Amino acid sequence: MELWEQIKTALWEFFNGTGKAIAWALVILAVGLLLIAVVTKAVQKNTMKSRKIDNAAASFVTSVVSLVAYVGLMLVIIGTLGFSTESIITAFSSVMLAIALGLQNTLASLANGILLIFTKPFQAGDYVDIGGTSGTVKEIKLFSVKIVTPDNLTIVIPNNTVFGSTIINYSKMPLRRIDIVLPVSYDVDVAKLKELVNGLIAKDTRIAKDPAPFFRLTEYGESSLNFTLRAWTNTSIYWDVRFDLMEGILEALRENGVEIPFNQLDVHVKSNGEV
Amino acid sequence: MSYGLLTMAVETLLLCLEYVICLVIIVAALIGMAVFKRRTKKQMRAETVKKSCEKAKAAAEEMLDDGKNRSSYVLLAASKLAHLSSLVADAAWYAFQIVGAKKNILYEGIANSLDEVATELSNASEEGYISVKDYQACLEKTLQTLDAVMAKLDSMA
Repeated sequence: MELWEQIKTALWEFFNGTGKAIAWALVILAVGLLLIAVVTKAVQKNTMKSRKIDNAAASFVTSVVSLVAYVGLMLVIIGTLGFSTESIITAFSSVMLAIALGLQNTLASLANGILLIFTKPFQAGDYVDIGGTSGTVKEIKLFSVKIVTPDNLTIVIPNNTVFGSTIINYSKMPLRRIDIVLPVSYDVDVAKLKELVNGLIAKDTRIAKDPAPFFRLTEYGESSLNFTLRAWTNTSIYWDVRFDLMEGILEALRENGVEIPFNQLDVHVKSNGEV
Repeated sequence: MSYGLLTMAVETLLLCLEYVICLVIIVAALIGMAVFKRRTKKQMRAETVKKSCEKAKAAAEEMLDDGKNRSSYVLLAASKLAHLSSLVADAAWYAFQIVGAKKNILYEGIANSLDEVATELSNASEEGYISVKDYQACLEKTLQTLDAVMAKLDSMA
């Protein structure tokens, strides 16, 4: 009879204490998992659909939201079960600190990767110069940026290096200026030369009319008059237009007898001590 | 019945009620999860992508007809393009879901082309002014892509 009383008391205490806590923890787990699934999906959908951030950033945001939600759920469940969450948080913080110290550079790359994804100094497909390395951006990842150089070399740059360097994005602006310095002889007929070059520019439909092209005498050189040509064109066809202009101008100058001076070297051969 | 026994019976009843409530909530959450997963799985089908493409196509055609009656500019062009961008982005999202969950790379091209069109429409919608010519060109390109995507989906079915 006494044993029965003891069993009854133990069962009552269990169902009224620990059992109840476990039941509520299960409730929180089930509802929490459902909420996390719904919220994560909603965040994923909205970030992926958003045109403001790209897909890499969207999946990163979703991962962070999901991770935070799971950690939060775990802490709530632990608290419901009657354990002290403070000690767990303290232990977790210590582990995180140790990890952070060990992976300092990697974490710096990760932090810079997040900044890169959100600030968008360049996008995949842009032609960039990062600290002297030029190429087309192929991938922007959380830890590194992959670029392919014009001679088809793949270069992976850690994101902390990317953010520590000067970034030149050649594709950011739709128009890019072509600068060509044209040295011509001092005997040149300036008006005729201007007419020639301006005519050549006017004929090329790839050169923008606004901003207007510029062709003026800019320097009295040591052995040449230096004219500067500045013309704007679409960034994507910059090199084609530049090379075509260089060749076209040379051809036009030759056809019209305009001389381009170049450095010459006179060699004097000494023979028997006499020049 | 003594007072002590009555109190114990009430307490037991309340405890049982609490457990029943817990059980009901757990079962409801599990059902909710199953429904949510089923709904998500249902969205990962070619028909869902096609349906969203059809919806976007109908909107684009309506906008194109409306635009033809204007001479210089289309009123509320930006908001209309933003709405169309959202519809195309919906279709892209469903295609991306198939790519991600089913690892079906056949849908990757579809998802990327829809995503590209949605981005272009969104960029166009951010312009302060859009001429009828640009507006129509934008819509025609969207319709071409949607037609191509739907043809591809049909061929894959």
